[in-house]
Amino acid sequence: MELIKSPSQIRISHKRKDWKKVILPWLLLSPTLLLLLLVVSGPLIGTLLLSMTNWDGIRSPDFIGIDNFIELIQDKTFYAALMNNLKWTIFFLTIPVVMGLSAAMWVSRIGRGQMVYRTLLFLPYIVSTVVTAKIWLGIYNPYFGINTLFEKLGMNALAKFWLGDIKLALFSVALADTWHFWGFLVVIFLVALQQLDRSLEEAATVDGANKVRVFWHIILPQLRPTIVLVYMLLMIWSFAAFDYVFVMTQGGPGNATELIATYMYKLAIYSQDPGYASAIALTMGIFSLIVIMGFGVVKKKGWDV
Amino acid sequence: MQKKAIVALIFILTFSILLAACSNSPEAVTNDSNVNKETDKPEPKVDKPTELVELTWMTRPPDNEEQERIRQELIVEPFEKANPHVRLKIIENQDPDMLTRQQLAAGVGPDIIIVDGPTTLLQFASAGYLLPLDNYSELYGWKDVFYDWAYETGFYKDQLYGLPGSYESLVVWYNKDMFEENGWVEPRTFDELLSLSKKIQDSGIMPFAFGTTDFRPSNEWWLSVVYNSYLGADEFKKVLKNEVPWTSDLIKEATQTWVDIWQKGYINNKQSHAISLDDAWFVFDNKQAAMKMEGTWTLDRIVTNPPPFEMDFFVMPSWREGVEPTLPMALGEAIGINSKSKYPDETAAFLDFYYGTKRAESELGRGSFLPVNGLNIEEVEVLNPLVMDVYEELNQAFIAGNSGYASWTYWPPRAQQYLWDHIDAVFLGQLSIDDYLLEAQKRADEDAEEGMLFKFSD
Repeated sequence: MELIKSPSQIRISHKRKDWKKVILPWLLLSPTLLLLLLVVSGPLIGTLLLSMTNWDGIRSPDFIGIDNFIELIQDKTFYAALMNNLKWTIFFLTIPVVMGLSAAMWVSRIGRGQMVYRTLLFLPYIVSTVVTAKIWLGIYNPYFGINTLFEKLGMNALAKFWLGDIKLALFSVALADTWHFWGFLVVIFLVALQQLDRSLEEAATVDGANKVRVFWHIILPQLRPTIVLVYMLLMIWSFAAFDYVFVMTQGGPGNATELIATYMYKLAIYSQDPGYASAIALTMGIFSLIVIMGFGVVKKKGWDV
Repeated sequence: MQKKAIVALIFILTFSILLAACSNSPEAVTNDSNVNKETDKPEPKVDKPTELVELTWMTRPPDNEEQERIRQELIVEPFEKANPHVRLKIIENQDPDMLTRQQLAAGVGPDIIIVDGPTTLLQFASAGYLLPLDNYSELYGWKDVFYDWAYETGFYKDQLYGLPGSYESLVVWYNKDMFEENGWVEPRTFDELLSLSKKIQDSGIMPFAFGTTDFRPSNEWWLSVVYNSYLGADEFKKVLKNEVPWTSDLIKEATQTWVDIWQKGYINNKQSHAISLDDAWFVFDNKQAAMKMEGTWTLDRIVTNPPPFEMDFFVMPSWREGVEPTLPMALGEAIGINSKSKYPDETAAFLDFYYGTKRAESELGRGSFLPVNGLNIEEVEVLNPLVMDVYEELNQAFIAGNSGYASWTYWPPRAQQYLWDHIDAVFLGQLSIDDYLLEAQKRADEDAEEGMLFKFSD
């Protein structure tokens, strides 16, 4: 029996292994890549082309070059929607994150019954968006919502015009979305907290650090990768926000809750101007790209480790 | 390693097969499925001249079981019985108009095309999506079936492309019991309307219930009433033809008058933009509001789900001296045949059946008015006396020439969308009336350039 292979046999054996290393991964990825091509790339190219047309969604589109983008630059409603998206982003980068992290910190310290609390906190997340929005519409209803409770308790100052006040409406809708969403953040942060090295905390405590200093100097730096990821996702999702606003206010009162996505929807469906709506859709894509590139820079600087 | 490669290949193959199995092909105008509607079992394809034909019909889902029963008993079953080789394949969707647009743009679509009004019909016809119906009109005598004004809305470039759906208008519904208890009477002039609203408000009740959060386009109901009531039909027609601008003094005055009424709190206590349509009905049904301005389609609600008090209605009085009370008219839909339908004859037969006298009389009994001549009103089984009152009021308006133009049928589409979407901003002081109307005019000009203005017969 031959135990020693000849040089040519060794070369053939290496080539076979190289072939498998190169081809096999692509073969395994091919269904996903095909899906991506069909579902993402195709519509993306379609949107790009449509954004340069004047099209009513029915007759043949007319090519108009960059006219839609010129109109976009002068569109006051677009800027109002953009400002609302920025406010929405700032809201979601702060309030739900603080709530989620605080709840996760608290739950992580619970020994017995932790699973019960985790489940309860996560429960709102599994309720569908439309159902949640309808529930909160009822809560905000001026005739039979939470205001009637405030009035009965003599807390009239809290009985606000939640969805009718242009200064409060966006916040009110964002609050409804937060109620639905923050349980997801709790779970993300909880998992991250459970990965932390407890010995560092203990050492800091022994050295005399109080809880605030332990949190700020020991826990938070270790959570940085998770926080960076959460922030990236929140920024992208905030620019795509649509559902709660559409169900609860449809962008009103006035433009107080108009977001880029709801404006785009109205243009495409009600105004029958999908060409212009496509131009707006591209801007959403560009914003998301800027966010992702920003985080690419962050990653290069090592802020996510 | 070889085993791993084989496993990987099997995985890829299985995934590809699953992907293909899960994909839905678009609803196509085809007879390939041949599914019996009642049994859901495939029927054998028949190559004889009497092969089973399946007509695709996209429509909104019934609001309740009663409507579903009526659709089945008055339309589906009798039509299929009269045409044994035809089956109706009903596709229910909350927005069949939008779904139809998407499918037509993709080159497919249902046989029976239902659009939300003559403006959309015009767009579809100009894009070549609809079959000319002149030959069928001659065959079935459709010219004599419909009211002239309704029949004329289906023409594009002198060819008939669609038949008119039910017609509707906007009136003021009110709690008759509450009015009688308080000694309030129906207003006949604008001053009486304001005086009545003040009295109602002073008694702690809202004059008008109205909500828009779940359906912002409902702002156009008030828009339609305001502009028709202030300008009158003839003057307003000039605006719709773009002969008079939306920035004209009369339109501005009408808008200001409406804003003033809203600011006084007469329309849902300045909260119309914060509650939904259903909430507004809740308020009205619970006697927190005395009146509700809404369409004649409300009759269906009154018939199937009446409130706990007696209701009545009045026509909004004119808002300017010298103008007659004007009922803004609209056609709820228009119906045509897909130009790519394989079964145009059968589809035309369905259209003819759909507008049959028997069905029209049944619809009338429930408060839905088809613009069809020759109905035997005496024979109609009316489920609520209000139905006949509204029907007669609308017909009187036609006869007297006091019918106006509701937004979703007659207004230029971009201008219309802008007007209903931004009126809240005017109410809340975010947008001036001048800027509001200036932008509306800009949109109307765009509509005019694209040939989207309604083609009045004159």
